[in-house]
Amino acid sequence: MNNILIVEDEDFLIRALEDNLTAEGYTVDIAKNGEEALEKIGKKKPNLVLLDLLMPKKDGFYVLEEVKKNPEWKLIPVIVLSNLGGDADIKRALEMGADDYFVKSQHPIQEVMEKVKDYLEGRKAAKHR
Amino acid sequence: MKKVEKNKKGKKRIPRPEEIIAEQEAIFSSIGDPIMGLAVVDKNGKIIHANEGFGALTGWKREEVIGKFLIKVIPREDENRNRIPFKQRVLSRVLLGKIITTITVNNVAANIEKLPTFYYVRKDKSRFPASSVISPILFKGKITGAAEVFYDITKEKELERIRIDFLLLASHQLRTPLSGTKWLIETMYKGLVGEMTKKQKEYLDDIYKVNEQMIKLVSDILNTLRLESEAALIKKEKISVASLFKDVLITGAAAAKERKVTLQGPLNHRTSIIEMDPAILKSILGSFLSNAINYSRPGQKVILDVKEESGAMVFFVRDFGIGIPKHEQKRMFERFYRASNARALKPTGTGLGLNIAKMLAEKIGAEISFKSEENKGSTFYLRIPKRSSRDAKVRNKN
Repeated sequence: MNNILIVEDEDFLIRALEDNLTAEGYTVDIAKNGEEALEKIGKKKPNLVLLDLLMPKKDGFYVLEEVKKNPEWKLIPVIVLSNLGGDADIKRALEMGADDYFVKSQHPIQEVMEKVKDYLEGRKAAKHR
Repeated sequence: MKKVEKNKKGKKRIPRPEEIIAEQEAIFSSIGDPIMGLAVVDKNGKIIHANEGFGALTGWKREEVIGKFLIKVIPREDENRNRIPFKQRVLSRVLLGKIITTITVNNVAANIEKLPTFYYVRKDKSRFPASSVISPILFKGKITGAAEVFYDITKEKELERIRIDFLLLASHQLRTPLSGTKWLIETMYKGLVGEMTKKQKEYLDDIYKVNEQMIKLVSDILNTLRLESEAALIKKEKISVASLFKDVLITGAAAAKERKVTLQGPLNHRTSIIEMDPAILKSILGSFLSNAINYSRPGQKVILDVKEESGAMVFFVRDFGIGIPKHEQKRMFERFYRASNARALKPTGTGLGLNIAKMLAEKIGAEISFKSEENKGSTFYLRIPKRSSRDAKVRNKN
């Protein structure tokens, strides 16, 4: 069963993501800040990470950098979910290796679910080989 | 002056009393304070007077600059460190009588015409953002020189940056609860937390709509601020006018269907290419189109087309809807302003669409205008000077 790590500091967003992901049949782990995220990835490598950017104790950019520079982790798809919608932020995250970027308020949660499915069911796998 | 000239021809020019010259010098040098530079030039643009502030701001001593060309002593640069050519300098144009007076104001108010921020280069090659007023000195109807007053606006720029950073962060913080509400409601719609009654679903629909409105508002505000902060970069890409129209029409299709409005694109096949930022063009035309659809009545049509005019390509969107009352027309580009009949017809608009479109147009060197008559409809124009598209056309022919 595919395991997804949600890295997000807002409880109501965690709840919405968790309920939707478990309904799709995934198992879910939660980290509420960047430090916790790296700890959890170290203990149990997830199949995919949903990553917020602005968080306490090490932000999402830091997590992204650590994940993408680690040879064992760099193939884990990372989908950024952030409300930073500026071109510069999006470009920075994509250049740092984020596989996708959603401005949360601009996209229905169903789009995020479909993107997750794309990655986990191999439709996007070519990109990572 | 006449007296002096007359006396020149005579055997002896009456010497100006030294006290008077000294006094004049003293007046000029003490006008203002160290934060205000003042320079007076003759009709050739050479400095005759400079105050203490001039020295403090530019690093040049007064005696070093008297008799030198002002535009050479303090070079002007734009935001990207490009020198402003001498011919384009405001002072040169003032001395030629091309403009009466100019004020450079930075981000003060939307109704003051502003020149883009510029920088003056100091003696030591460092630079500072400046604001200036340049006026010709007229004597008997002829321009005999000019006076320039300028300020260092580093502090104002810094405050402006802090203001924008703060608002950007605040808007981000607003988006987080809004996206939470959105996603939680969507999760309820899916039935993941149990079935709802019809009435509960109706209530939820209303909450969802209100929330979407807030999201739109915050997003519009963010876009406005981003444009103001000049951080947005402008791309230049070759775009075919035909595909541009196609894209814009697609964005309006759903709204048009809902309001039972017919969209009509250009009738002849357009083959022109223009070189422009496609996102900005689509955004401006999309905003025109969305207004035209919203303020039309069911059954009416909206026309989107382009025409060539002396040296420009003019895109336009025409509707036959409610129009804009004459006395409200001059306020149409104000932030948050909405015409009274528009508010009555569609209470949910943000009043930012045209304001953003205007700022975008300025960014790409284009102009926006409109003609409108109440109850007969409006036509909005986007006029793009052709120089950029001409090159592209020539290359296409080859």
